[in-house]
Amino acid sequence: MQLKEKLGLAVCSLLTATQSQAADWLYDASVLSYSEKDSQQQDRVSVIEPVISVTKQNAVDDYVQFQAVYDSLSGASPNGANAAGVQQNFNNFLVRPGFTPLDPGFNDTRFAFNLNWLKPFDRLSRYLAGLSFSSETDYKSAGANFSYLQDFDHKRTTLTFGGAYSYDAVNPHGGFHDPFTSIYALPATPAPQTQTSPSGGGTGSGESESLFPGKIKQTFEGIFGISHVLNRFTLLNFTYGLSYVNGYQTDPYKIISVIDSAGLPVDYVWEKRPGTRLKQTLKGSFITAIGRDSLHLNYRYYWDDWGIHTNTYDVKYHLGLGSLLYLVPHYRLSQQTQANFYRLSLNNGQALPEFASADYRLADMTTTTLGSMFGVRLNAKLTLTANIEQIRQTGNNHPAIAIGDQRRHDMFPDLTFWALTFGVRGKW
Amino acid sequence: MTERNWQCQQKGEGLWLGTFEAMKSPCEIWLETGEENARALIQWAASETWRIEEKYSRFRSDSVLSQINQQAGQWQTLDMETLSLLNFADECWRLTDGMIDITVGTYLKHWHFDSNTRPPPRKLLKQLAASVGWEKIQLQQGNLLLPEGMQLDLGGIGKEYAVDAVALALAAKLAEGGIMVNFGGDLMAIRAKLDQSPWTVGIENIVADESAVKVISLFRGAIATSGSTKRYAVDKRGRPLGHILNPKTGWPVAHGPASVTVIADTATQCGMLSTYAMLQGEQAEDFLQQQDVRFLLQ
Repeated sequence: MQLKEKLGLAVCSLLTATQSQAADWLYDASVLSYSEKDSQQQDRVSVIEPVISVTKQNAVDDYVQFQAVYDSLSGASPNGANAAGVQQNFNNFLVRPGFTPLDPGFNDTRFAFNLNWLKPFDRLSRYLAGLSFSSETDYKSAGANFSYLQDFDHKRTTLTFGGAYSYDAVNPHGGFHDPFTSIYALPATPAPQTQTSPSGGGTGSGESESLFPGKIKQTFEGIFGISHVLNRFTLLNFTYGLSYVNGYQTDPYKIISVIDSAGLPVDYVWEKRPGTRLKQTLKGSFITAIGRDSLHLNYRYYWDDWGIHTNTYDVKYHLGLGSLLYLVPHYRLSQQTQANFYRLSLNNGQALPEFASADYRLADMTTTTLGSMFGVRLNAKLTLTANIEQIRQTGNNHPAIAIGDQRRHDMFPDLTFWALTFGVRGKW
Repeated sequence: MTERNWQCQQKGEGLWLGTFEAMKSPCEIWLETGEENARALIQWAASETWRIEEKYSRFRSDSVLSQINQQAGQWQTLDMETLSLLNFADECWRLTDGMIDITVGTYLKHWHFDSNTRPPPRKLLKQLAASVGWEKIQLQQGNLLLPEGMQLDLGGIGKEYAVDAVALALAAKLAEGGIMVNFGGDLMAIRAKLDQSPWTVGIENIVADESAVKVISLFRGAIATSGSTKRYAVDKRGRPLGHILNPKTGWPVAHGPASVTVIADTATQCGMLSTYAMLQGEQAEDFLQQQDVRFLLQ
């Protein structure tokens, strides 16, 4: 790189550092909403999620950010059982023949708070730290993260080393169930609380009320990243992440159909997942300026020791339309392979596997997202945005392992829905 | 401080020119907008420029820069803007192998570029050389230790920085319309005019300074000039000595062009390139050709 360009970069960092000092308080508020409907015309989950964040920006490498999220989730979600040619009874609701069973009692609200701050150590190094807490009626989570960032080569290259920890507690409505027991078995008496953590019970009642009642899951994470300014127009970024999850990871609401040789359900049992999971992620991103526009390419490869491999491709183009309007069309494709303990169903009379889940989110699945963000800069202090995207989830409708009656029904109804986000951001 | 004045006049359909004095230069702000908006923005630009001048002037004892120089010998905490400027100075010092060095302030105290004062004795400059050199500065976590006897000078950065900072801030305040900021020939056209016609800028002729030697058209970009016949000292034979000092000797560069004008992206970048070119003396032209920039020598 020539002296002219190196000086250009130095001037850029000088001006961004000093200009941003004027912008002391930044705010960003948005509301996301969507309603899922599957290809069987069954309504699924509806979500409304307002997010508010406030940032106190002291300099480009010095800020404190507080974010609050409220999530309202209602509707129905697949409980794991397969569609069947008979009416199916799940204790508190019935499902008509041919339809994928959805658990209608899927309502919850979630509050989440995040506090993040970036502080310089000196002119070439800084740290990013954060604390997070979230709460639902049946789930609590608290976490902390820390990253160290070091610049090299006249700030053209930045290395990031970081770690994170989170402590989650699952405390399902109706308590925990023994894996692979029938959903028709009499509900467990509140007595067998020996399975839960010493700090509390699944009943939520009583004297030993804890901030984290239920069963515990801990996540340990490490990340390593490198970003490099290739030239005045192009930025490259690579990240490797390793995460180890230990504790209760079974979904306490998911069940599995037990079928006979004709493929018809004879029973439903509670699922069971491993107590540990090792996840790895490799990410690469490429951002380049094209005139006053910019192109963002991202690729992510994820794999874990549950056997899930995911390739995700993401393309965005930031298109300026004059100085007031901009458009950001984007496309995302994510292809996932199933977990090795994923089962469409279990066969009656056969030996039980060590782990099994029929959760469609652990199955082979392709998700595509196509949409665009529209932004209007009303003035230097206020920008309005609207983001509309169509999300489409498809899987194996008629897997080869389906037998008898299962072959006559859709084992993975496609899901297509629109998500809308409206936002406002600016500074005081 | 006496009240400082600024003027605003219409120069065409929706084109406004704001003028004021700062940093010993006539300053111009060109804007395409309505009158009310233009007045408010020009007033803001003038006060922002005066703020930067008052903060970093070597000639005002109450400036932040003078306070830093007065507190040489002890650790001091810097505000973010000053820290950013010193970080930038550090980067320039590295990139130019120590030729652009703001610790030349130590020498400058003894030079008077008023077009008739004789230079300080060579012996004194030799003694002062021990108190020059950016490598002697300690800058850690926003704290500065300037060794005793050393003086910083931001004269080589301040004006161009003010041009860029004011231009950038105006662009953030004004959503649409052309913007050009010109402080005595160091300028930045941050946004082209709405009718897509270029900004035209006259580069001052150093011999007869009323008529422009060359008119440059630019849509967007920046220009800065180093070296000038307005600020010089004279040697014992009456010959002018320019005000750009070699940090190794404390003496103005000899045998170079009288001035170097560079055209690039930001005024600060142009200023650093033109100063560095001046410091190359006879090799100035070769140096500029290698840099792949548009330039003009006089």
